[in-house]
Amino acid sequence: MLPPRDPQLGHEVFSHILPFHLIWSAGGTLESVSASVRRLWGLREDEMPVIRLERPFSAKLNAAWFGELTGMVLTLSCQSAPSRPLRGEIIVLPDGRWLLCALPPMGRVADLEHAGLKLSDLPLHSGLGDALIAAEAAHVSLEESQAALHRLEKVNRSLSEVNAAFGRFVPRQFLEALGIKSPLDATLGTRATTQTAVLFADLRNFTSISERMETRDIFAFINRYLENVAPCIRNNDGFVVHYLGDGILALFQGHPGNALQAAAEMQAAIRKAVAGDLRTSGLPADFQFTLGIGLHFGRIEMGIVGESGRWDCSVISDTVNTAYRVEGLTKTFGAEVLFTGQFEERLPENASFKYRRLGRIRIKGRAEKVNIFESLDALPPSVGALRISSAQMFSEALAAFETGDMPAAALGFQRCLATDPSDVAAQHYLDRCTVDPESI
Amino acid sequence: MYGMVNQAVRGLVVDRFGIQTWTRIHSEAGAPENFSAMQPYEDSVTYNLVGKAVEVLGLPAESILHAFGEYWVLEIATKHYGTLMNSTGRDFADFLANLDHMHQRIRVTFPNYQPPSFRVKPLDTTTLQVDYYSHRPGLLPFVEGLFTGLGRHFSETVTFEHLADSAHQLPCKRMLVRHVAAA
Repeated sequence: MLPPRDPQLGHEVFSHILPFHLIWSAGGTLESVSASVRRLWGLREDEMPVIRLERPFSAKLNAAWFGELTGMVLTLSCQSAPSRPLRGEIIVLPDGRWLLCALPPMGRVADLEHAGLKLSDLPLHSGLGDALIAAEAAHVSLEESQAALHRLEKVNRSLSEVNAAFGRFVPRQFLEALGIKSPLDATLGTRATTQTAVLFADLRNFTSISERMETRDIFAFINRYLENVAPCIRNNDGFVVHYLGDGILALFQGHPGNALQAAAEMQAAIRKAVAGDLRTSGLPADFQFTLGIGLHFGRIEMGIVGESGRWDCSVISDTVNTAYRVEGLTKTFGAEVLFTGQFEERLPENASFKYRRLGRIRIKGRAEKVNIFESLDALPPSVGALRISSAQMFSEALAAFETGDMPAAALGFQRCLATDPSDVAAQHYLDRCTVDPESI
Repeated sequence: MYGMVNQAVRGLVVDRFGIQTWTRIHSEAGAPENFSAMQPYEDSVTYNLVGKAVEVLGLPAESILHAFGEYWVLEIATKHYGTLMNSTGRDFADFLANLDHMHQRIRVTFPNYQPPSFRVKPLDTTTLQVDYYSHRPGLLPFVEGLFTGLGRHFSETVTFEHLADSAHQLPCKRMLVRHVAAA
């Protein structure tokens, strides 16, 4: 560092190299304030400023600290211009005086104007002017990037909402089963084969009742009904493939126990809703809420069907038809939830589901008779308890019926009805004890 | 503080305790899920995160702050600002001596940056007297973590001896920092 009184360079050259400087005597008396500092702080020619230290700590500057502050970056301000600080270092000169060489701290070109300076007031060799211009360019880029980022976030939010809305029409699990991660990857004809439990539910007699209702009342009722029962499917790892008016077609890709649990919960939910506010305006007062549910397990084909202008997700399978037919049997047997032998075989052995076999039943569209079971968990608790207590009697009567021992079967079904007069299945068989079992 | 500090808090929690723990900490602290490195955040965001981390992780604040400091140097600074690190110093002592300068130079890029100040005075080849000035209370363990991380970065082992405030005149925390080549 050149001393300011260097006879060869002179004060003018020194001030050009270090325009913002202050000099204290070895004893700590402020001797000299450069013209640039005077201009920055608005000082008269002969005025000596009251200086505060702002960094590394805030206090009125005490020259006694200079020795402890050398090597640090200091920020100083003038009491009369506190918003125009200087930042720099204190150096001890060979003659013992203290020199502060500094610059106004700046981050943007606009800070120059705030400090009452021009770009040319900054020494070229300091590089500060170059840095300010570079920073200005970076800030412009950053602002553009942030604006682009905000636009992108807005588009992303919109896309997420579209995706969520799309997912309400096409179940995510359906696409996953097809190996499709994004709806954009779906193509016409994409298909997959899988083994799964199928649930078909239908609100009995609603179609005929709905003919007497206003369209808006039909929609209001169906949505309220679905709002009560459909979550039972979702909560048991199933998903709805189609709503068919008041009908529901759902798949369960986990173990079939989930489907049986969902069916029992759906019946409980509808009973609770009937006791609550399920009856909407326009619904005939004599309408009896009876939900029939059929369950089957088997192979299904899932895929995207349609033509270029209209696609749909679809399930094509005899398994679905069977679940539909089994649901139809609930009316015959006065049951709430029925399932097939193929479904029963896949229930976990240690599961605590309560059910009874209703016999081998002929189902439309199938060559062989199918074993049908009735869930007792899905019944109202009081009815379920009666069916459980008569289950052994029913089983023995059914065995007699299937071996053609009609007197024993009739006696057994009569005993079942004595225990539970509402047992429609027992009555159904009792009525047929005189006919050939093969006709059932 | 700038987002890069909070990024270290997030990174450490996610790396060591999992994303679910971070989700709990940031949501209960009312802090964002993620941070932009170049964006300034209120100091209270960092303090709240540390406070909530203490509660959720069941660890003392000093341990957490120390771990954050070490993580910041080793996982954030060296990986994202390696060039700047290299240009600041060639070894631990050299780096610390130039730390104040480096902090001040990056203020052009981070105009709201309010870094702490360090005065480093070598006492011998393995001992530095470090004066730490900061308007932010309670972050001395964080600084120790930073220095420990720096030591590991330069393959040096760092230990600390804190001197009483009554031993000097200035409003700083004075410590003796010993650094030796790691075994």
